[in-house]
Amino acid sequence: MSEEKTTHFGFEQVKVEEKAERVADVFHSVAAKYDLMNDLMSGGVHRIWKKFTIELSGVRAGDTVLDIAGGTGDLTAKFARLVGPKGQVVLADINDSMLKVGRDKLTDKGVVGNVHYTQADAQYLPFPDNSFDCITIAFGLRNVTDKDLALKAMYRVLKPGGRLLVLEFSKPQHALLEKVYDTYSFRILPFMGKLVTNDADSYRYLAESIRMHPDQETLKGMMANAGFSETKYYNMTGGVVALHKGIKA
Amino acid sequence: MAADDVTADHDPTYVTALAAVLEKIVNTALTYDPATKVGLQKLENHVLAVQITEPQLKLYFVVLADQLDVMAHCETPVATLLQGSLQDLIKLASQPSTSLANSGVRVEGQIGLLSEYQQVLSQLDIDWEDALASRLGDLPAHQIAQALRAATNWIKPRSRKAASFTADFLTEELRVLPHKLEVDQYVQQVDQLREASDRLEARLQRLLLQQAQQQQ
Ligand SMILES: C[S@@+](CC[C@H](N)C(=O)[O-])C[C@H]1O[C@@H](n2cnc3c(N)ncnc32)[C@H](O)[C@@H]1O
Repeated sequence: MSEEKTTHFGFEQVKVEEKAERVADVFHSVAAKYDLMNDLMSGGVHRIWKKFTIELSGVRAGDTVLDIAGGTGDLTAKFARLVGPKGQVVLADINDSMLKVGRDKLTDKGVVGNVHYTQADAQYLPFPDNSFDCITIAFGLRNVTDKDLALKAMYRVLKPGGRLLVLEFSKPQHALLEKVYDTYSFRILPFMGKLVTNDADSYRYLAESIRMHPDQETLKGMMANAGFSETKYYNMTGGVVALHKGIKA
Repeated sequence: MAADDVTADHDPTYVTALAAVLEKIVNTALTYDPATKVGLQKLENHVLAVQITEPQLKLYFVVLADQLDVMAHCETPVATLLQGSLQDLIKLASQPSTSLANSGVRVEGQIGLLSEYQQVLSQLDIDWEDALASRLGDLPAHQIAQALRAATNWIKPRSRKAASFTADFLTEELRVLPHKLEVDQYVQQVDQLREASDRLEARLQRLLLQQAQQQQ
């Protein structure tokens, strides 16, 4: 980061104080059509990525789970079933539009009773130390201004033995796939975004933010830096997405 | 047991996708057989792993909160492991006289779980017609159900006296269609009902017409 405290917003440089606001605009804008776009953009594969995340979480009845940057609550819904009536899931997001879409969706689905909703910033988690058995952040970390700060915050609120799962776009492992993927995300994505949400800019930001996000090994190192042990990652769909896992010893 | 099936350099997307598809099919089917669904609950939390050696594939099955979960990866310790080539597993399933001993299929862990699965699944009675009809309408549902039944007929046991309960378990699991007689009867009843309601509607129309003419 440079002297005058700027950070990237997609490919643009913006003031650090500004990034959160710009990210918020993006998600306010896409909240209503977020689920639809997710299915369209990934051809439904995001459901598979999320299913594997749940499997790797090892979450059991009675556990307490934090789904930060949880948005419209796909993971939260699955966790709510696994932790059962004695467990607890906190769906937290910085953006109240996303949170509202999530809450309405889960309530309609009958997912109630063990889910709590909190507006919170991943960098400054408003929970006591050692609170959660498991934390997930799915397609959220790349939007966070200071990722190291967020990873440390997550480490703090995890119980010893608790695990963090980071599901995020990453670096495709083959040159050809990377090329195809680039074309897709820089040309087709914004176009689809324009058609469905009339908002090409938000989806251009999405493509750019994916590119700027740390690759597999870098993120693994950042997690270790934040204190996590047994850090590892799984490349999915050729590395288009990676699932990182770390344990608080 | 920390699962070693999906290593960090193995792309888990495909097996997970397969698991998701199976999970969807099984659980959709189970909604049409509430009794079995209830029965399954006593198997809760016992993980059954099926490892196919050729082609290499391992899937985990566990009953959890009202559903059968099918997974590519499982953090919970496995209670029972079934292991064999796809061919051997299918053979064991299709020929109930084959005993487990020379089937090429290996069982590890809690064998009792298999017989419990068998017990529940032997009562499996999925109303395919109903399941399909709610999506497709009656007529194609009937035809598809018949095709499904024909396609799976070869796999049904010829003898009810299975040599081993494992073979039984597998065959019973695959015996998922109601008897042809039941289905035909059901379709007949639906047809009768439809004809009756058609007649009723025609009469109503006539009466309404008459009434309208009288009022003029
Ligand atoms: C792409 S969505 C992912 C939603 C959901 N986890 C999913 O996988 O479908 C990213 C979410 O991150 C949220 N977000 C962005 N910055 C955040 C921050 N600093 N703290 C918490 N949430 C944040 C956004 O509001 C948005 O809902």
